Amino acid sequence: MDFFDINAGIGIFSKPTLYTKPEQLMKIMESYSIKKSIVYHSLSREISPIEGNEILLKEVKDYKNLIPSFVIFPENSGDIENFEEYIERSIKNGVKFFRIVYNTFRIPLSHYFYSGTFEIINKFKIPVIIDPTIPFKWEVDSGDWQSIRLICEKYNELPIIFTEFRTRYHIRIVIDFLKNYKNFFYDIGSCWNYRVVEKLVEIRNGENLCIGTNLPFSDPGQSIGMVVASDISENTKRKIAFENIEKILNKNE
Amino acid sequence: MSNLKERFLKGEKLEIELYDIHAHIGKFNRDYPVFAGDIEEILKEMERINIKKAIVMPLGVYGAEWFYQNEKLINDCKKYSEKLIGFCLINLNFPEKVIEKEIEGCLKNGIKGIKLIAAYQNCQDLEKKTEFVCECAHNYKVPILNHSWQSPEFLEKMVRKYKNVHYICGHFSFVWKDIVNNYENVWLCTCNYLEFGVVERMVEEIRNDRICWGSDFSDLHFGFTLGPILLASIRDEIKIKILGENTKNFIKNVIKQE
Repeated sequence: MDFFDINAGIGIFSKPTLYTKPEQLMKIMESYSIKKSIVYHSLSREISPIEGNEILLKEVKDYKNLIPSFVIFPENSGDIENFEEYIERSIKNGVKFFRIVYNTFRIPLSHYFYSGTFEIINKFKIPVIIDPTIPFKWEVDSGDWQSIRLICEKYNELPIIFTEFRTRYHIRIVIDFLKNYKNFFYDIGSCWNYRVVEKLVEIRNGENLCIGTNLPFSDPGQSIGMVVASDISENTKRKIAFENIEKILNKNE
Repeated sequence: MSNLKERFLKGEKLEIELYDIHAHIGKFNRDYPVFAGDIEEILKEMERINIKKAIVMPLGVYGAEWFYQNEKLINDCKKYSEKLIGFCLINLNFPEKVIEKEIEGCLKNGIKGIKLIAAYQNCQDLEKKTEFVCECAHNYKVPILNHSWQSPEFLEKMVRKYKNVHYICGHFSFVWKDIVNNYENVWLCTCNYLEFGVVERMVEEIRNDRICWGSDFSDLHFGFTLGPILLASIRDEIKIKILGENTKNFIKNVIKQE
């Protein structure tokens, strides 16, 4: 089975990891049958999206199976002069996904909503990955569901992909979101609960599920294992493992 | 690529017998809805995954109605004794007399070991109470699976003092490494969130005959705990030991037969 990973990092993080370079990630991907990965840069995730994003583009330019995603600040944050121009230029440079890691920068997700950030992203219809996890803190149930609800409701054609280190209690909320928002996508690698994959595929036939490994931190066998060992049809496994996210990507090509 | 890894990734049947050292039944948990948690559904799932036997404990580990939960466990383990081996849940917040009575009652009713998880029960006086349970287990010659043994120093103290007990570290961590390596009666469950590269390091640093796969069903997804072992860059014969043979040996040599 082939996999499309929505959550992998490259670069040097604040603590040592087993790989840093794209070529090393490619080797790991090959070993786990991961054909494509949506990647971000360590500098973007932990300190400086503006510089990290530029480094990411340079690093992955020769690897067509590494899909660049830019970490973004909200509009008017003071980090860039013209937010809309930045977004437009990023897309022209090959960025296929944006990523919001609001807890790292201590900016409420609601501020991204009220500052008009999503208004601009929505113009370009570029999918957004929301990840509240701060690397190495590994907190559980960090989603800001009130803000995600606002975003999903107002921009109901914009794919919102949620991933986090671990969803445990909040799975009761995730089920409701998957039922109510067709633009809400969920990384099943985030929830480790018993038979959770089997339960979630009952909603929209698993069309809104995808998989993230959280490399270089987590053992990819955990999320991959959840797809492979699930009691669901091979067809649905393929959708979660690869096709659902490929469909989102192709829409923007 | 290892044969097991390749077959797992292709979704093929593995044809290896699994023995699970750490699992739960009981159908309810505070933290999330338990999907397909009926005992019959769980047994069907064990069949699908090819789990021959599992050591099971109540799922409502926070401690409310622990007597009721143990009663349910006793009934299910009696009904499905060929598949399930029960370890009773102990709530360390209760007085020692009550704890001892519950252990005694459970053991008389077919329960084979003790489960501790004081961290989830907000228990004070932890070491004293845990030691009391170790003493009981020593007297009855039964094993204990503890969610966490607090510290390696404390576990070693128990291991040296209460020698009739087999000690299971319920969740993997390298902190237990030396004790597992140095004592015959200490076992390590693989279940935990695992960082990238940990499984390879685990089998390199810890004696391979004491590492036992624990699925932690019906808390965790089978794939979450199986995937890291089956996809690790380690030899297939080690995978087979971890996933089945070691726990099979534990059951054969440690669990009292009827």
